Amino acid sequence: MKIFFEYLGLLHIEGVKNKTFLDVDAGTTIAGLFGQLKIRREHQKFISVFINDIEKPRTTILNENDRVKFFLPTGGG
Amino acid sequence: MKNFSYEKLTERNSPKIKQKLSEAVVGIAGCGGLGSNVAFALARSGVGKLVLVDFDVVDITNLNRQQFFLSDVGMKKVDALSEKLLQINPQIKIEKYQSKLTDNNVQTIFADVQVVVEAFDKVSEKASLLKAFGKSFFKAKFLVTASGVAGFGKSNSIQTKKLAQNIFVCGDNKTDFLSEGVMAPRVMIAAGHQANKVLELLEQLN
Repeated sequence: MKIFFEYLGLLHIEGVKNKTFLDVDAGTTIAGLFGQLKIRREHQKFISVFINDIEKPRTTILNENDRVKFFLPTGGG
Repeated sequence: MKNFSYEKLTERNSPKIKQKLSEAVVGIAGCGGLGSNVAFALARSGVGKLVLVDFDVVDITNLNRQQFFLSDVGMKKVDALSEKLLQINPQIKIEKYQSKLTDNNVQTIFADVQVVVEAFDKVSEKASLLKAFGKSFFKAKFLVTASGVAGFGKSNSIQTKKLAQNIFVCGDNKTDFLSEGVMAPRVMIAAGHQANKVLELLEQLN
């Protein structure tokens, strides 16, 4: 199934364009998507994930056409 | 107190938001570069109550971007900031917490606020507050966070973007203080974005 994926912040995800459609298996969770995209563990703990504009926990199962957004804040203030 | 008048303080503010601001309650999570500048802007705008949270004391290295003075060094940031805000508006209500924001106290501290301003400098603290906003308790409140305020120049790369239904982010989402340092102009631009978004949100609230 397809999801729409975008990310903000200092993330660089090898081989994945920002604001693009991704193929994921049915039943994939947010945690599973982290694995599929090879997100580094030190980044995973600071990333907020929004699905269709609502913040969701890592156990959330993705659905067809979900708009998934990763946000990794940068330091300074 | 030199003939203070709330009406006079807010006389030149936008008439359509005046009444809402006098009754507004805004939380400031972190009273450093972003937080002190946001608090100044909101106090000058006539916001009725601020909830200030910061565990730290003023250090001389803070003076390059934070609204403190040499005479404040060593003071609790929440105390030094409160003093200054009361010099702008002696009628402003201020609730102070000299503590770290944790999963255990965040709901209690921000129970009555309409909008929270995330003004921390550490990524871990920013992420922690964002995580708290994923809980149902915060669904009816707004969070205005900041990311990418470091360095100098590139003024127009600092923008306000919608992250989620009730969460906005101000900054360029790229520049990091570890590599670029933090300086007054860009921090103040980002703080201006945050304060301005807070006013917009308060104007929209019933």
